[in-house]
Amino acid sequence: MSDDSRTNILQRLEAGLGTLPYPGCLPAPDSIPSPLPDAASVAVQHGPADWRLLRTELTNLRAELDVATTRAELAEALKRLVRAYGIETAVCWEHGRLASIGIDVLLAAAGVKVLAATCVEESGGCRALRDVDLGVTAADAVFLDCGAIAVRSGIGRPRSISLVPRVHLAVVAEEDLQPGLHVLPELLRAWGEEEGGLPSAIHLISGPSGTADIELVYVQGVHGPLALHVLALSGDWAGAEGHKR
Amino acid sequence: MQCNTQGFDAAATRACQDGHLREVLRKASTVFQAKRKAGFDTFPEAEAHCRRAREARARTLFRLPELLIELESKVTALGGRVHWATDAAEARAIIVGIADQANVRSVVKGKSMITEEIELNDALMTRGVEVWEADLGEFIIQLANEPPSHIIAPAIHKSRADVAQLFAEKLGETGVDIPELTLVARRFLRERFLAADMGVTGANMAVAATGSLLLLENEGNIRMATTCPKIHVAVMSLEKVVADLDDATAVLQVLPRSATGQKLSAYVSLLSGPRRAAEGDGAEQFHLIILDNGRSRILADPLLREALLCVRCGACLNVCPVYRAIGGHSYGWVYPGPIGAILTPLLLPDERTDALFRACTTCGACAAVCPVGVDHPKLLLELRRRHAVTSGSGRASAAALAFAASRPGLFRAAAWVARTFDPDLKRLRRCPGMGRLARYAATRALPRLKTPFSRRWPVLAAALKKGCQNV
Amino acid sequence: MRVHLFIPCLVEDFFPEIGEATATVLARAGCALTYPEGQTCCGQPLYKLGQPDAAKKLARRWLELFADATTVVAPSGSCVAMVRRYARFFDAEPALQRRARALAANTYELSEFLVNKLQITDCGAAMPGRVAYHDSCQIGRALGIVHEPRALLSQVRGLELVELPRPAACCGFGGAFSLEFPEIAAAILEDKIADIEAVAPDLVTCAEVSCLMHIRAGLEKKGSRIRALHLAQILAGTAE
Repeated sequence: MSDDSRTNILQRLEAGLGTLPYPGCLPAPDSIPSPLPDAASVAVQHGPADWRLLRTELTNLRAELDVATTRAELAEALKRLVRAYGIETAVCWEHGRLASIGIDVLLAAAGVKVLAATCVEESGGCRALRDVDLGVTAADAVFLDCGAIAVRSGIGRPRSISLVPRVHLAVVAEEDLQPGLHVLPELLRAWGEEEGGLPSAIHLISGPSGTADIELVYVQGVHGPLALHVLALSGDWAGAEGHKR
Repeated sequence: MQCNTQGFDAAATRACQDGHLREVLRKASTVFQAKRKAGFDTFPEAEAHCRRAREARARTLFRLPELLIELESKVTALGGRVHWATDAAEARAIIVGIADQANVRSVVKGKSMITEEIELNDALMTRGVEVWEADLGEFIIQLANEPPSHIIAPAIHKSRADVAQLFAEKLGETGVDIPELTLVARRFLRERFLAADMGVTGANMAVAATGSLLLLENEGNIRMATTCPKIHVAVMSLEKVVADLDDATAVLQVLPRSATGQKLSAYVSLLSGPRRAAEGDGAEQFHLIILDNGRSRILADPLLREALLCVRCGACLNVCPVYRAIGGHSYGWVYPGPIGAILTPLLLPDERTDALFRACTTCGACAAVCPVGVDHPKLLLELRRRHAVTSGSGRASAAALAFAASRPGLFRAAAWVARTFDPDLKRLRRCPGMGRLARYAATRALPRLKTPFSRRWPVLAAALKKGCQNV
Repeated sequence: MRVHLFIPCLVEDFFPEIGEATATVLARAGCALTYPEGQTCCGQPLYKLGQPDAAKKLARRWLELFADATTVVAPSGSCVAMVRRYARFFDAEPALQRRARALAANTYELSEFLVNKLQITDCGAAMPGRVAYHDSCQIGRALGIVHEPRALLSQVRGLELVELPRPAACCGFGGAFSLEFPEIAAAILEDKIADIEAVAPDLVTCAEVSCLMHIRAGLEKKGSRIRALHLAQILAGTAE
């Protein structure tokens, strides 16, 4: 049945396109695509200015940003976060950067029980994270023109980590920074080439979840995380080897 | 959704006299217009982005069959399954079939107009499947058993008190203020997400070059519905495909801004097939339903196919003076506002839908905000022209008017009669067949017939000449 | 400059004073006026109702009436917008189509004519008071005429120009719309009048005859002391 429909639909579409378009109504079908306009005003500067820009964007998105230049600052920021959100349990991506900063150890030192990312797979899905307070990921890209954080799904990186726990913490570094969304297609293609295709899921995250469906009054936090917190590793974290995958 | 477009006149009249609804619509219109304006005022190269988005959508239309075939091939290669549905009945049957085969007992849904269009929920529920709308606004109207009144904010007509009462009745749990009520919904639906066997969404876009689905949202319910259950079914209106990642980005750059003034929605999901081996979450089965349901007929129409450029941002609704006065329910079907007034008649050619395209002031506010350049007034006037031809209605009076207006003597004589015997049109409005004039006059003073300009001209001309000579 | 007066049907029988004001303003600006007799209707209502064949008859007649015109001016944007559509009716008659295009290029709404063609913003008018300007859809959006009426009003002595909250929001008339859907039109008008009352002007003005009629009709029915005048009437320094 579906096959017949397929044939019929395609035939109808082909036939429909046989009738010429209204003159001047739409751009010519074989016209070469124009380049995407770029946000010429934003550029990655590889310095503190980037984080200031990111802070402005994240504040607009109701997300928090902490910038750490040393391990001590990082530990402090994590302790503050744990206190502020009442974090008792956490789960983290398996990721070189997170491992090299010793996120598990730092969280444990702050009194947090850290679950392995594999618990998701082992329990057969999201349910494992239902009562987890904090999900920690790195970031595959951070877009300075809008503050969006891109996360790719993968082994040891279940998508539910940035979705189901109450709070999502993204640990970002300078090398994640991208000037703007206009580079998205080229970035996605580069990722595709690295990995032999796109991952099953990529999410662009711009802030915590929210809704204004009742009386147009905005409420932060509905089905996704109630809060988004970003920790930026600023400066030379060359000690953090194996930063990417 | 059941079609009730023939009830437009009655529904619209009732709606525009409903004080509470008017207040709600004024607020929505004001808020969304302001957000959109803020988003576009701070959007560098906004016009260039809109042009590029229009290009992307136009490219889709011209290459539609080829792109759908490419999409199918890529999705299949990724381990997804593609189904083609000619109409709503077939789409329902396919989805029910998928549910049957996998013994699905409960479904969670993202906000999706297309699933309203095909009336999916009832079809699943009659099979004993639990269906939960998970977008907060949709969840609320589902509990209340009402249709959505707005594309972006479906429950905008409900107050917090309404919602509190609804939750108390239907969920056994409630709250007082809006954050509390939202948390009640979060807790309740969280359990539904985790227990659901299947998630159903629409599709904002599908990228042919990579076989990826693009879904935009702020609440996280779409991510939950596509991450937790083992099966994900996406229903896609066939014109939603885009050629490649560049075209997808072009549309992505304008859609959230046009809808709510946001640079991006809180979550943009780019999903390419089901989960990969050894991944811990995400759907194990991915089904894409490519739905026609009348779109191929619209594509074949060179004058009206432009309506398929629409990216469903809702901006036209938010600026439409008619929508602002009557709300979404009055349109009698899934798609309200200017785009609804065009799509509904085209998708439901056998229903009485002419009121939708006649109820337009041709103010042009819609065309001015459309990010992909749909010229709504042009399309609406074309629908009127066609309707006049096929129904023959108005032809006689139009011809009579043209006849009279071609003979100024006749025109002048009629005006003289009216001016002499009924200058305030009091008698005229009481004549049978002049009911509309009477209704007009109920809230507005009628103008008065006066000595016409043509009669005054000779005196005026002389006076002006004299005045000029004095200057 | 010789100007042919284009008097919309509503002006002829219901608002002749707007025609008089228009003629006065143009004469004062130094134009020699010609008034082609026998004007009836530009055909716009028929076109908007989906009856282009009937509209085409009136288009043809209009082109004949104004055959000798080099410049045409009307106190209305919707009529001018209609004239600018005429050419597309005559694909099969190239000579007439050429004539239609030429005339359309020289047919102007009053404020755009004064400001852009004659380069005048001061019409020598005086009208003390608070005045709000409504951007008619057929003037602002359809013809892109937004700053010209404001430029003219700002030169009227004693006039304090105030902006409405949603100056370009439709008044709800929409031609046949207000007769086909009178309650919806009334609801739209209600919001426009609320906007007007919110800025408490002495007077509201616009450059489109039908909007003026609709807005005045709503104000009068409410018993409002806010008057409504056409832009031409303010510029002519006359008020009824």
